[in-house]
Amino acid sequence: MSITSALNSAMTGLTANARLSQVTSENLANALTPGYSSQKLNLSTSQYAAGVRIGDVERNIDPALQSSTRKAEAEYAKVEVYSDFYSRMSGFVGTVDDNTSISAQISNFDAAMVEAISRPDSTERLHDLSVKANLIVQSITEAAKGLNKQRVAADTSIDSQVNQLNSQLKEIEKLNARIVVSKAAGATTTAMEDQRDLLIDQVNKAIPVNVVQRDQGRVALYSVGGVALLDGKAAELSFDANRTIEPHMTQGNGLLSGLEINGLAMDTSVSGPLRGGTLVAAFDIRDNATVEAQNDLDALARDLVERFQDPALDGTIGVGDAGIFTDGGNAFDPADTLGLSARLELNDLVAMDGQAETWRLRDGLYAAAPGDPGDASLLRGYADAIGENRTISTTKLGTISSDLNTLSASLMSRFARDSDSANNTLSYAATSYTEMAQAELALGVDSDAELQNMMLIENAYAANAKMLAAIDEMLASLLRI
Amino acid sequence: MIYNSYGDLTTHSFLRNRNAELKLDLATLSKEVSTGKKANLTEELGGDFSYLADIENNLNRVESQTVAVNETKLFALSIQGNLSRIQESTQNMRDDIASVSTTLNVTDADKFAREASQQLDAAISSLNGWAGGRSLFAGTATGTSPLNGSDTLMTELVSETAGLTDADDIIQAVKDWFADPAGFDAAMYNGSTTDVSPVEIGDGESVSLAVRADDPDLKHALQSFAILALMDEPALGLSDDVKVGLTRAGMSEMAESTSKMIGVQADIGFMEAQLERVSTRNEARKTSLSIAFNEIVLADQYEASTKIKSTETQLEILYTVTARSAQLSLVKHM
Repeated sequence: MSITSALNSAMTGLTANARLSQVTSENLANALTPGYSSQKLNLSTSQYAAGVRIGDVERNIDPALQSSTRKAEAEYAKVEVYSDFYSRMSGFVGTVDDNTSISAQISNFDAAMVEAISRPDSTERLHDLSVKANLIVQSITEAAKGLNKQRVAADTSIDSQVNQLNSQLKEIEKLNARIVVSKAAGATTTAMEDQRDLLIDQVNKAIPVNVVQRDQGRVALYSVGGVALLDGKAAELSFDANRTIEPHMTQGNGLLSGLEINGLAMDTSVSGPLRGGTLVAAFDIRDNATVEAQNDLDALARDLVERFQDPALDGTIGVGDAGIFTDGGNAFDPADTLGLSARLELNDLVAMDGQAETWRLRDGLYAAAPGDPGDASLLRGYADAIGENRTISTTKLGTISSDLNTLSASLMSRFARDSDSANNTLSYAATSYTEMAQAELALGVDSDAELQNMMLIENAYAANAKMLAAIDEMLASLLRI
Repeated sequence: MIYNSYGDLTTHSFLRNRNAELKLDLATLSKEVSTGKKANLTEELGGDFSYLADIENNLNRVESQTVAVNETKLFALSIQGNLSRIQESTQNMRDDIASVSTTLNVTDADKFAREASQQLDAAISSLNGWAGGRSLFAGTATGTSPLNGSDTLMTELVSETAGLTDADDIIQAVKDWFADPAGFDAAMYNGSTTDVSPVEIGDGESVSLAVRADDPDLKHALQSFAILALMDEPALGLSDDVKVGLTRAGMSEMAESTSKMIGVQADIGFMEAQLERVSTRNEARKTSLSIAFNEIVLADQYEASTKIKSTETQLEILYTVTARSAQLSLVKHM
């Protein structure tokens, strides 16, 4: 009886070692597979029969580490969205030591004014002044256009994130179901679990989630703010993208779409229940950051327009007449400040691509005929208007009382500062994410360790085989009697 | 028993990240060394550009102010040249008349009359002077020569003084006509009655080259020449005594004109001195602004080069470590 038992033990030993070598080779094969967790075969002694009992294959993961890594990854992805936005905005507005910034164009206009005052009779100087004024207009409208593109891009990004989230959640729902079935059939589910973890990582980037383990290997996903994204059934997110966005359109006045989950409207603010990921960051950019940036650009444009649309400065400007800088060709009304930066135009009378009557800069915009060519009094008035301290107040710029040059420098500083601080946060988030990711990778396949195991497995396999041979001989001895 | 294991990808990921960081550092430093400027000004300035933007703007303005100063210098020089021509001729005539005053006769008077008539022409063309495409004495009407020709002037004066036979009366009539807005100003002056605006030549500093041909001081020179030139007008039929009397009176008029002209020249001379002073100051300002600008914007070449060297060394060490660690595998020893 005991010989048969020994034979049985040796047999289970052989099988166990074969299975071990299979797991080892699986590990080695997937050493470079992203998202692969190294596997371990659980062995125990058999309780009811002699020999080794082969347990299930276990993934080498650390749930606490996994959740910290996800948090760091979501943080990093979110900060990256802001950093991209502000660095683009800073690019549109320009920085110092940059000949194309709004501030540089205003400074050039100011300098051209000094030269025009020196020779008010020179048509070239007046033309140059018109060209410089047009460059200011261009730099501001370019920035406004760029800003609008950023807003549309944020809206498009929300749309594509929502679509991806929907399909990822559906996929996780399916994997949940398959894992239940495979577990019931006693098959390994490690590959499916790895795949599900990868999908959860992706969902987590858009909306940071808490993963809740349910029975039979299923998981449920809740946003950190407590919204069920998947519990048994995947939630359905819906959002309507806009192809064109005008400055006056907001989520508040219903012209831009909000987010619905299973038909329920969701709070998409940065402190809302879906907070922390790229989805809410995109909403924040669309609904707040771009709106504030628009306000600041508009405030600059308004200040520019108002400095020159002043009947006290140029007596020929009547009520309802535009100044040098116009709101889409017409006089500017303070009630229409919103979106002014995009509509800013140089007065057609003096624009080089319009009537090009630049003597009007010297003699009054709506003068009936050219006046004395040496009269620089209006030009001097313009120069004073540029240097005059005016008070501007916006949320982000604060209340500034300054001349036009300083105001444009403040605007430039505001975007550069935002960009700089977003970059700092980004590098901090990147460091912490890298640390976490490396700690997770440390749990991955170690080929040296696998090879060491392999040597042990070889030995054990050989030993078991020898055992079989010995038992065979023993049985043969018995049979020879 | 605890078995430690360390995933292969950890080392790989660490080395790769470190490699990327070092390469980025190297790229930034190379940019700093090759352009001589700091690569990240935003970080350097803590995102506050107002100071640097102000320096840039001031540099821009100083450049334009330098252009304005140079142009204004040219105008001042031309104005001064034209004025000194008139002043020299009034002074010469005064001296010429004075030299013969003891023996002054009608021949001398006729000679002075012809000379005065020529100098009147010359003075009018001086006041009609242009420089750099701009009329100098026409106020803001810089596209117009301010004065009509001497013919117009003389015709007007002949009709004003016709029938007068006393030298003092004639002189008074001429003076009245010059002083009357409906006289000289209406008949002769075509320029603007507005002075040219002051030109900004430095921060808070401007000069105004406001000398017009209808300035009483300048008109006085014309008036003196005109008094003498009247003797050359046959239509008046002046007697010899009157002519001699006019010449004598003309001498003192010339003396007065000369001192008035010198007064105007002194004003322009003062502006020229101011231009010179401001131009020197602008240059100094430009230099100091550039130095301030460079101090902020320029990278410390020595520091950047040293950093490049150390980054290079680190990168080389990293390459060695990468190669060594890749060779360290159990596979090689099995």
